[in-house]
Amino acid sequence: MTDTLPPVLDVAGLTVSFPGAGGEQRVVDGISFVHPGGRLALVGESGSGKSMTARALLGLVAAPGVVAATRLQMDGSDLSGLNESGWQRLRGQRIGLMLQDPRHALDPVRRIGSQVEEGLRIHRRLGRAERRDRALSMLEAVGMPDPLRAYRAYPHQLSGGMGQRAMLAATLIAEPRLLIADEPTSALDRELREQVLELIGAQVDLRGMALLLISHDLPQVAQHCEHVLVMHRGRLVESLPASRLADADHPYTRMLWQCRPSAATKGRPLPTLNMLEAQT
Amino acid sequence: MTTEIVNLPVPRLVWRKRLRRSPAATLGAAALILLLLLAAFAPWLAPYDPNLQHIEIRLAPPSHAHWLGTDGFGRDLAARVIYGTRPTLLLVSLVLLFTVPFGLTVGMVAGLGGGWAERILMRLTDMVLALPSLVLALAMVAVLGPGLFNGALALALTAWPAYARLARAETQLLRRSDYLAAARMHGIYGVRLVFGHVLPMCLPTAVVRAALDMGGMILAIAGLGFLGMGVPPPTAEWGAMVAEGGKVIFDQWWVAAAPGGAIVLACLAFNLLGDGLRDWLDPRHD
Amino acid sequence: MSAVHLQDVRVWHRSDGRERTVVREAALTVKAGETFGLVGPSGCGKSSLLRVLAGLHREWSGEICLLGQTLLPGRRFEAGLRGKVQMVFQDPYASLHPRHRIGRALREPLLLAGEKRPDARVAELLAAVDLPAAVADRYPHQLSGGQRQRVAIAAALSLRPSLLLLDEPTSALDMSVQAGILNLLNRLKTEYDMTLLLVSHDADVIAHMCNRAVTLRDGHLEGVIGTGGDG
Repeated sequence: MTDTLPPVLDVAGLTVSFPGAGGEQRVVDGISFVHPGGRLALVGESGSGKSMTARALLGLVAAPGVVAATRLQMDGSDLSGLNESGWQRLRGQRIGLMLQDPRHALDPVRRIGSQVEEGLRIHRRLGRAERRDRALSMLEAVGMPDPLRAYRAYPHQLSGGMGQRAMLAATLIAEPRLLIADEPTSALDRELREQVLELIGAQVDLRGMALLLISHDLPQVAQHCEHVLVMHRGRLVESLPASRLADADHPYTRMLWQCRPSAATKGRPLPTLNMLEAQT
Repeated sequence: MTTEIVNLPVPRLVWRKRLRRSPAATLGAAALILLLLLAAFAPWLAPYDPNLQHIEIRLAPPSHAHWLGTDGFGRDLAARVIYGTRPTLLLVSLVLLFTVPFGLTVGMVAGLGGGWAERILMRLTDMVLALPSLVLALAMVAVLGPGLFNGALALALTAWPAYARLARAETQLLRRSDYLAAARMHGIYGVRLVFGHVLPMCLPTAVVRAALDMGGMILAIAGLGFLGMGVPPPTAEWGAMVAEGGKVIFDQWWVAAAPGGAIVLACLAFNLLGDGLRDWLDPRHD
Repeated sequence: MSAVHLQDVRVWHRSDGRERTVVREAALTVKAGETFGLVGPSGCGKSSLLRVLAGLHREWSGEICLLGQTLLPGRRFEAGLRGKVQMVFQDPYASLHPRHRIGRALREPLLLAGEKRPDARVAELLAAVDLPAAVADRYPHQLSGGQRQRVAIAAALSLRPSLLLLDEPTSALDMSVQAGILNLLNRLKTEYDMTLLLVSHDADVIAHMCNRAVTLRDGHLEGVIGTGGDG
């Protein structure tokens, strides 16, 4: 091929709308962005439409929601015309999804090992022993202290951080091109959040995958991503390199950037959305 | 964030809208209202005196004069079916009045109290639950003598444990909830906590259960009547009427079919209503 | 006078007839009017310790003194102390009764306390947490997470507490919503002249809010940290 590869994701005019009491409600309102590869963050608060955007990219918007886009491409191939089986092949094989809470995302009555292997069972033709080997090495790669024990464990026997590692293993094993992580750390303690984000970043780089990290914590994702998109009420309000966040233009981005409490902010009120609305 | 809320209309669902959402429940509610109206206005609605005997037209088939025919004493079946709603509904209400409050209280106290109170109350509940209800009811009526009140008492005696278990299961889940902890921190204890805070959480399931139970209750009442243990004759009662009709069922089927159909419809009404209530009573179900 | 004084406190849970100690040999003193932090990873026992101080968990031993009153293990708070110690829970959805309108939830403790004009006080409380009065007609599920937490704070304030216990009050919320709640707590602390005891797993939140803090690890309290600008 040529040296100008198509971007991992090329989205234009993406809209997700739901029929509501007062007419059609646009949860995602015509957003456009390009994911060139590497690590991209999509930041916004609850109700901003960030999770719905991820669902739209995975073909997971359930009726009565309607997805429309002028362009929706992955690696140069069009996604908008996919049927259900096409989406199913896409999910897991080319796009992996990691969710917020391992207690909800993992099946409580199946062992971790079989859930990690599932991606291989569906998308690859491998023998039992080889599947098991791959699952074990994957569990080791995501930092499980005792992969064999984790392989045999049920989800409730793992702590939150370990559960999230198991989820990551289950997502990575099919070697997707793009990993979408939707608030992968908000159910975890502060200290663990850093570790898990660190791990996700390292694994993504190691495997040459692209990452779309969805979060509400702008300062935190800024440390783990190269480029940041900020969403507010269904629209993209900002798109800039993470290194330039400190001097962002949009007041909403600035608010998100500054509202994290720390020792430095002690004794001063933190910026909030209400202050923002009072100013404008 | 704080400004948004004022503009949002408070979503209070209109009854009409709720009804449209669940046609089965609407049907059940309509049938129940019809039964209540029939019971209340029986003297005006019934075409004849239900106890007036016309031996010359006994076992007459349905006709213009007698829509559902007549029974073995020449009494008008339509009138008797209409009057038959009265003892049935009265008995059902009496049983509910005995069982639901009692069962809920036992269950909530056990679930909230824990420890010994819970063990004793729930073992008692299990014991009563093991008793065969209709057999026990028959025995009680045999001892106390047939009648409306005794019948209700007999059925109520074995019907309350279901509500106690339901309430205890719900309350146990609530016991550790933050909002009961918050209520305790506000100084809300005892009766106020049980009836103001726990009851609203247990009531919906109990009401649904009650509505679904009522169908069975009507069958049990009819069963008592069928065995001659219900309301004494000549009062019109569906179970007793079916028993009478049973003697001639191969030649004059309508004598048994009229009250039998009434029983089926009444049971169906309560079951449909129970299903619908389950949806309505959940405030999160908009 | 110290707001909270603990000496050699042990807290345990009982399950299946076995005791499991979650906090041992805890000793600390919180001065009246300060914001004191309790940091630690989840499962370290910090919530259990807070529930003891809230009077919700009665299986403990040792010496606890709250606002000058000595507590007795296994016993309910005395009526005078009850209103003075209030708590805000982690999950605002779980701490409000799902079938009570906000107005009712706020009015009930006021009525029990013998308040003459409860409706005026409810409006006042809602205003204190920056919510419009119309919220009183809502059910909890009709509010956002941040709004629910504001209601929970209003409910805790209704009895004019002197000590407010905060159990991870913002960890279920978005960043900017968290900022709003933290600002609100700091403002109310001055307005209502309260002592705050804040439990969190987020060291940054503690650093922003607290005069002093301790770390709880595996049931043990580890060293008091002054977090800059000790007041």
